Amino acid sequence: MIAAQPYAGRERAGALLEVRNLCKSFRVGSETFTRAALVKAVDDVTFRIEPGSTMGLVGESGSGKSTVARMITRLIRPDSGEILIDGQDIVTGGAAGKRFARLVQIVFQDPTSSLNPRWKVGDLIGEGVLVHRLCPRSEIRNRVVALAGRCGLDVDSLDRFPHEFSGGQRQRIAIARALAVEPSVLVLDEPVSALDVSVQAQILVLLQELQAAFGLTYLLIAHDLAVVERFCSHVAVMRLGRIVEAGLPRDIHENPKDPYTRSLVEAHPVPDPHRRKAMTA
Amino acid sequence: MLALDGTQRSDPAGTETQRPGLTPQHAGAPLIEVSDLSVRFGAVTAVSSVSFSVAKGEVFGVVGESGAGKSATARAIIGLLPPTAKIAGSVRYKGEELVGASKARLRQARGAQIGYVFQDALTALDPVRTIGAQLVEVLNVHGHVSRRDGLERAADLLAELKINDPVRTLKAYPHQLSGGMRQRAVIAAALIANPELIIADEVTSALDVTVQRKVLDLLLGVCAARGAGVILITHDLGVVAQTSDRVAVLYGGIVAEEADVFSLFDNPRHPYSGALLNSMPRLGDQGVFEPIPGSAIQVFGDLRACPFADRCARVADDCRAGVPAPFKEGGTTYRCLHPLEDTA
Ligand SMILES: Nc1ncnc2c1ncn2[C@@H]1O[C@H](COP(=O)(O)OP(=O)(O)OP(=O)(O)O)[C@@H](O)[C@H]1O
Ligand SMILES: Nc1ncnc2c1ncn2[C@@H]1O[C@H](COP(=O)(O)OP(=O)(O)OP(=O)(O)O)[C@@H](O)[C@H]1O
Ligand SMILES: [Mg+2]
Ligand SMILES: [Mg+2]
Repeated sequence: MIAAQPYAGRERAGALLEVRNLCKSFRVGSETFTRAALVKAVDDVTFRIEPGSTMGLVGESGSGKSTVARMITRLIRPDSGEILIDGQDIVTGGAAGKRFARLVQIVFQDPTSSLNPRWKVGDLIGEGVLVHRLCPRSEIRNRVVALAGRCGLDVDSLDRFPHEFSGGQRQRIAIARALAVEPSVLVLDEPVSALDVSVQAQILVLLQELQAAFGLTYLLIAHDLAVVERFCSHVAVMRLGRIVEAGLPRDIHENPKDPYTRSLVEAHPVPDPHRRKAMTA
Repeated sequence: MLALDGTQRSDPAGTETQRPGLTPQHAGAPLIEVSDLSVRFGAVTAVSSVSFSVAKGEVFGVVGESGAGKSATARAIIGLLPPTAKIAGSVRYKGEELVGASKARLRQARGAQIGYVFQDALTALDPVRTIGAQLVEVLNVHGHVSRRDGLERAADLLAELKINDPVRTLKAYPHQLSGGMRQRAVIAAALIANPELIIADEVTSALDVTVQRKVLDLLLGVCAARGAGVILITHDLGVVAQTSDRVAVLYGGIVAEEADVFSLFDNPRHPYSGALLNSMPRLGDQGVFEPIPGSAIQVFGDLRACPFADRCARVADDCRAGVPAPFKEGGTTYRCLHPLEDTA
């Protein structure tokens, strides 16, 4: 059924994602304490991802990566700055902005807590299609079946609940769910960190195939440089809310300029017991 | 001089040293001895007659893909499986049987003697209490400390775990922390009462490698200084290579191979161990990922064949005739009838 296929009739789905001078601060500690500290989680972040390409965002824990992801997917509002999809501002753009916002979807690290345990897999995948009225009701099932198949899930998975699946399969469900609303940009917040290496490789291969098929634009948040190097055309490194280094993965790996990036390369665990690193004490 | 991991075989700069092996005073009687452990959830067999032991001062790595039974094994050791689970076999902690021990005894052992960090621990933090309150509580279960002393100890520990602002972190609620900060708060809870055995289930999966390094160094330090034992469960073979003395490779609920870390990496004997080593992403590789073909199995009822048979390149008829018995050769024990060649 051609009509049931996602992205039917579209040649390239990828959009240009631009982020300009993005800032976000949080208060930490109880809200009622007047002495609560203010944390600058994201501080003047600017980048641009060309349609159909992948940028990796790496950085220290707490450096603001997930906060950037949550702003781009409108889960939280920036204090200031712009987020543009194909030139349209999705924060201040009103109705048009809202329409464009649908074009950005997110996949989280932990598929267990991001999938409602009381919903069947088929309903989880189809929810966005229904909400955004992307096809006639009678065609939703076909579309969900096609998408699930594309993501490596068989038809009987659709009538089961998420807890009956392994971590890797749950991540496939989360990806199918994100793709169901035909996004142009996919934000992947550590999509494989919680998965074992062989399943990691399967999910990354799936994401590469989907990108090739639909021309999707990816923002991949990861802490594993080896994954970023294989997967991304560009990399940005964050530290304390700011982008401290950006460039081609190969250059960053071979010639890191920022001290943090250097320590990231040096601390990478070598999978060889004969080459143990001295304790950093 | 940079060590370009995985691309550079020799190490002319000499920046790497070997971790000293077990110190003699720590070796000896096992701290924990697991024998013939099996765990079932209804029809699903998660763990089938798993045996291993961990000595004082030893880091014991447990690897294997999703669903292999790693977490079920860990939870069985400290009596934290759901009531629907059926356990058989024995777990001895310093000679004392823990399978079937009273709830009170198990509660006492957890935290004070056996510290544990579970994979889903992130969601187990109490969302309505601050990190500081939760850490001090761990100390209070095992003897009284004042709130001030407790918080001080907690802050020191968080600083050791490379948290930039420990005081702010202690005042924060879980949702106010990033993923990696929460993971370290949970690690701190496992270490704060100075346990003798630490079970760490995927504790570094949300951490970048610099913080991961710090956490692992801290665990190794605790082993070396106090002779604590560590069971380190992970899917990251790099972590195992960098930390473990011995390793068990789990597949389909059985220990497919157990070996000292050098034998495992240099000379894997079980075909699954070999495939797992080949699927590792290394820094410097580009382009292709090499997943193991096929998907992980779920075992229903009694295991009657080698669980890896359907995905194995070396499979033969006898692999399906029964579960291969453990076979010991040198420092390695494996359960396979058609092992990879011995290259040692
Ligand atoms: N809702 C919130 N309230 C208060 N502070 C917050 C909140 N969300 C995030 N923060 C703070 O903002 C900073 C950045 O957090 P963020 O989750 O973006 O980090 P991250 O780079 O994704 O880290 P990780 O690699 O550990 O996931 C942290 O210091 C965190 O404590
Ligand atoms: N509470 C439970 N109820 C039913 N089945 C369970 C339960 N917990 C685990 N299982 C099953 O037991 C098997 C082993 O699970 P376990 O969680 O030990 O795997 P694991 O090796 O820790 O995997 P991962 O790397 O994904 O954490 C799996 O098939 C799983 O589906
Ligand atoms: Mg994050
Ligand atoms: Mg587990």
